[in-house]
Parts: sequence; C-alpha cells; structure tokens
Amino acid sequence: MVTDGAESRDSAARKNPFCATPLISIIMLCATMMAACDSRNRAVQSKLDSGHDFNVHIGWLHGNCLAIKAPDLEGRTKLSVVSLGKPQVALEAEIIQRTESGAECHALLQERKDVNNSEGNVFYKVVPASKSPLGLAIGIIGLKGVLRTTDGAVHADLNGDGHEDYFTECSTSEGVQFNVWADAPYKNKALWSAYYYLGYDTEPNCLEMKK
Amino acid sequence: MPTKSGTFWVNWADTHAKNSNSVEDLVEPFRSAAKNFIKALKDAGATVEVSTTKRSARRAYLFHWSWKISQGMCKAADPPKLENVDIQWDHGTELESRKGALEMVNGFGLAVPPQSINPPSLTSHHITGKAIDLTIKWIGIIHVKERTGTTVAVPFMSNVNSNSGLHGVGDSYGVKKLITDAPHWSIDGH
Repeated sequence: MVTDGAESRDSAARKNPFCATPLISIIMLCATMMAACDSRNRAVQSKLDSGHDFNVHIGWLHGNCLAIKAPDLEGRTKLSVVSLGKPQVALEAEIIQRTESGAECHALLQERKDVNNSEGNVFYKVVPASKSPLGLAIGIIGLKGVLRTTDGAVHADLNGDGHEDYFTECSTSEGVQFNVWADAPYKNKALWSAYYYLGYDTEPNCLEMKK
Repeated sequence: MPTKSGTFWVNWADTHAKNSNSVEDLVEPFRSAAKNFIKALKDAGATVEVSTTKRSARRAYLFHWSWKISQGMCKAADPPKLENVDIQWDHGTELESRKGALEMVNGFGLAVPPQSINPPSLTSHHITGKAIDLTIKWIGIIHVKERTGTTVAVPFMSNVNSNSGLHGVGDSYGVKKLITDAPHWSIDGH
C-alpha cells in the first residue's frame, strides 16, 4: 500500500508525537527551558529585592576564622556553617571574638591580609560545635530556615521566600571564589559572592559564571 | 645534613624564601610597564598598594610538595632536590612523612579546596617577575593618562574585575588584568 507523507506522519505521531513534529517539539522544549530559566531569574531578583542583606548574614571561613562584612557581631553569636567538602556538611559554630591576628586567621597572614582586608571584611575567631574541621566553608548568621542536605549538597532557604539556596567554592588563579545561588548553582547570577586571596599561585577550576 | 619536613621549614621560609612586594624585583620590560601604570594612577589621585611582585621559587617548591605529600598525592621520595633547600621529605614511613608535610601545610596556611586536585603551582608569572598584585582605590572618577598621552575618565567600582576602563588603562602600559582575581595584573593577563 502506498501512503502519502501526511498519513505516514500521522501514524508516527500517534506512536510518538515528538518524533512526528520535531519543530514543534523543539519549540516546546525551548519554551519550557525559557520558562524555567525565567522562573529562576525571578527567584534571584525576588531574593535580591527582598531587603535581606546577604552580605551581613553570609561570610566565608578558612578553618576557625570567619570573614564577613558585619563589624558588630558579638561573642557567642551562633553561626550555621556549610563545610564545602565532598560531600558538603552542615555544621554549627559560635563566634568567639574579632581578630586581626594571622596566627588565628589564615586570611590575615602577612601575604594575604592587605587584600583580604580591602574586600571590606572583618574577621572573627570561631569555635565549631563539634570536632569536625570547618575547612573552607560558608557561614550564615541568623539563618531563618534549616540547612538540609540532598545528594551531598547542603541547601537552605536563606531569606524565607520558598526558594532553596545552594553553596559552592572553586579555585581561581590566586584564591578561592565562594558563591551562594538561588535554586541551582551556576544557572544565574549569584546571590552572594566573595573572594579569598591566598597570596600564592594555584590552578583555577572555576566554571564560567554568569555575570 | 638535611632537615626533616615540618614546622621548621615554615619559619625557614619566612626568613630565606620570602616573596617580594618591591616593583624593582620585577623583570623588564614588565618592571617599567608596572612603574608607569602605578605612576599614572597615583598622579590621577588613586591610592595604590602593592601586595606582591616576585614570588620565591623556593617558597613555591615548599608549598607545592608539602601540599601533595600531605594529601597523599605523591610519595615522599618523589620531590626533586632544589638547590639551597636541604629538606628531607621522606621520614621513613608514609605516615610520618605525611605528618611532617601537613605541619607545613597548616603552618603556611595553605588551603585545601575540596574540589581541587591541584597543588600550589611551581611556576607562575609571579615567580618569573612578570606579575603584580595591586589594590587600587579612589573616590568617584579619576582622570588617568594612558601611555599614548590620552586622558580617560575612570569611575571607581568596588569590583575591580568589572572595571573595564581601568583594565584599558593598564593595557595601554602593558599591564593586563586577570579578571578572576581582584589584585592580579601581569604581562599577558594570566
């Protein structure tokens, strides 16, 4: 039996509508992706517009030292910590006091302190609640939600808007880049970013990030 | 007689393997390029702090191998000898060798990023004297002279990596910005 092309397409469409109409499926896929992307963009903008000042609530740690743009934190302030190992681990710590000592804070070693101070950070000595080392970590003051872990990644809704936020670190040529992302890492502009100058040369492994 | 790896070498490096923050320790033609760029910035009213110019190859050697041995990424017998650094990496057992190396990693404050399998580098533009780390600040807008003599207006941006106007001025002098690391400028932007 000879069939024309339309019949053939209809038959294929009944079996698999996406095969029969590739253009339509591509358009639908693009539209779905754009909608998802748009949704993520709205989530980022919503968080940034929420009035929540991420800079005074989030800082980075190298060992038992927190760098944060919040100059007035008092001793015994609780700190939620995302230790950025593989897997990431949610920990608790407590602020002891401000420090300007390279002996207490690697970020303030002679070769690093000028650059790390110029980023507007103040530094606090902290003590972890458990014996687990903090390593390279992101610290959160006054976390509204809870830190949860899924597939080795810690996440939390930092400003209580219903969207989960994620935490990453990567190496640059001379330092460490810390980021917090809304909904998923590296998909949109970061909610919060910080740079830790190490003062020696390393191999960069940061993915290209959206501006 | 070699000295075993450990805290001793942290103190040794702080005396015998220091990095420089003097522009005079850079190599030509980058030295003159950096001097001219800094002068143009200062003439325009910016403050310029130099954190690092030439880094010590000996210090980089100690960083690199202590990091690798401490992380179990090589054997203590693997590091080559380096002239005037009479260190004994191999303590006889792997456990003791790693312990000695880890003392150095902690003493130097080396970061161990969990996503990185790369130790501190043995080679870089800083080690060859072709890079400089700067913190440049001003208020508002400065009018800076490029090498050609043209004056350009450059607004201050808290994120120096985004300040393409400033990068352009540096470029005109042969001092190129690496946009992933705030203080870093070099002969080719790496």
